[in-house]
Amino acid sequence: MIETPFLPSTAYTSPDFYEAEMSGVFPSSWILAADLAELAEPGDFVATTIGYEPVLIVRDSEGSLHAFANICPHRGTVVADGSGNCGDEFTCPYHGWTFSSGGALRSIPNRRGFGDQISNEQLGLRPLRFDIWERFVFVNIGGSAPPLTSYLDAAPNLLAQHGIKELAPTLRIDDTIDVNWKVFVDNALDDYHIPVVHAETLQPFHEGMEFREDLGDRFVNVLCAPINDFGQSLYPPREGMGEEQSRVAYAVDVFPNLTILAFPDGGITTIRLTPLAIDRTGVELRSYSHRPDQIGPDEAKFSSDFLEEDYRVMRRVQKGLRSRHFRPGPVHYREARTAAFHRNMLSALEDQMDSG
Amino acid sequence: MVEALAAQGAAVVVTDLDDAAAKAAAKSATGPGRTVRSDRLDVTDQADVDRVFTDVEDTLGPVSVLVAMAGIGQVIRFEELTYEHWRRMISVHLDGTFLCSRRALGPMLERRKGRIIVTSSIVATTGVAYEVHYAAAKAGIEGMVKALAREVAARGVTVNAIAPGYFDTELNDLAPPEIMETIAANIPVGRLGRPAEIGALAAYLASDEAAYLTGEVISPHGCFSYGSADQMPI
Repeated sequence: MIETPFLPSTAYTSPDFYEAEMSGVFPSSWILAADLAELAEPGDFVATTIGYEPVLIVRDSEGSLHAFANICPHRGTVVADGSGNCGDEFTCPYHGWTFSSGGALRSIPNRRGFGDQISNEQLGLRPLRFDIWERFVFVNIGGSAPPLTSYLDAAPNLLAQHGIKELAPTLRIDDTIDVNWKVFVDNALDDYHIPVVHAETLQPFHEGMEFREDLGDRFVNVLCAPINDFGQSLYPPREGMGEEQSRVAYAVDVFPNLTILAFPDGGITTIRLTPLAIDRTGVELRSYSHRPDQIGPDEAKFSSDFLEEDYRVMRRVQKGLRSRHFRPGPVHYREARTAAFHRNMLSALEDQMDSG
Repeated sequence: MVEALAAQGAAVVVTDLDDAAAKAAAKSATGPGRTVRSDRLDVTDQADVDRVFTDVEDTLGPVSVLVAMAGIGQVIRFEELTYEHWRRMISVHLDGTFLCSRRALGPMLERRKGRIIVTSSIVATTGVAYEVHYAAAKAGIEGMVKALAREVAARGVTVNAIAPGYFDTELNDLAPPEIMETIAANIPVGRLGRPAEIGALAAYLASDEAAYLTGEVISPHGCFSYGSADQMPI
């Protein structure tokens, strides 16, 4: 037997394990839910899903931000879809109950039919714990995660000079891929595959450079990938960048489902994974730049190319996981972050069991 | 305080010069459905006040309620009170309350809605030996509340002060236990106040229902009067 910290293949295939992730791990974590750029005006909203929880982020008519469970307190119907501007009101599509953008129950069709059972105060949208780092709204469904700033560990300092608040969105890719969500995370954290899988896309920027993995306390780990002279010539560093930040591309992974790629020019790309089923995962890639006018059509092609390179190997992994002969193998030092993710998954599941 | 406001469903940002204390206060009120965050703030530094407000406005939205309660305590004979002691006391209480209130007020007036709740003390009314600079600072805050409330009353913003008597907080650790016993013996209700009682009052003052209550100094003190607690030489 090989000693390995990798999760067994049943972690990717067992419905019980998936259930524990959805109802335990995701609710106990801080999960990226929205970008403030989508929530600039009163009435702007974003609907998303965290674990099994439909989530609604909205800026109310007075400008205050809220996070709610995106369900009608009457029958549990999901109230809002997608993103956009709600005016000042959400209407449940089932029985037509309306809620203010601040979450208060406003009106009920044929209210008298309920007799005196209705109290508006008790039937508003249920608030969720949220907080903001730079431009990103995170939600912690369970309410017991450490404060967001400590959860994010080294990330806020590391990326302080990237000017994340001022970045302009330049690219959105929304995909689904038929693999367990952890197959994607494993790959995002795997720094060993880059020269093989991304020989034509990412590797040329890093050829000849030595990578460094920073494992962090628990929820965040970082790959520091220095960029060679070729890469530096394409992406000149942003003014005011720290010495390391000027020549390093970072992959900052926030447990359990977020990767932030950050570059010396201050540009970043976020990749958020949403488990849709045990073998189906939503992929949301968002890129941001300080020089949006200088972004060419190649940018989109580059991102979809390297995603497609990853998808090809991920589909193979997903298929191979079902083999009765597969046991997780040894860990390369450039897979240390993947191994750390597996340890963190186990810790998160243990925490769930401890808290009953 | 943080607990009371968070329980109302407000997103709460708790600040302190001591970052660890702010974090601890935020953590104590954390829970499902609550947004409570912390930041380090020096209320005597105008740029720092602006930084914190701007960050909150950029992210959570406009500040609808300000609770200004940064304060320090010092027990000292008047003849030993230096100008630096005096300046520091006035700066934290009066300058801090001014800087935070002024920064909060503009956006409140634009929205024609807001609540400014500041912190005085029963000693602004009664006086207290060996804390002359503290009493002076608090009396200054009360003057500010009454004047500012008049100035903005017609524009949807209320301004009130909470002037607590003696409460069960760590500020009392400054005083020797026997003095606290004497003080407690002068409280007809028979006990020190509980911090949650201040929180509940602030939550009321912050509510829509309190729109007609402005320019007031409300003093929960359990009917305290100095009496035999008046002569406590140090």
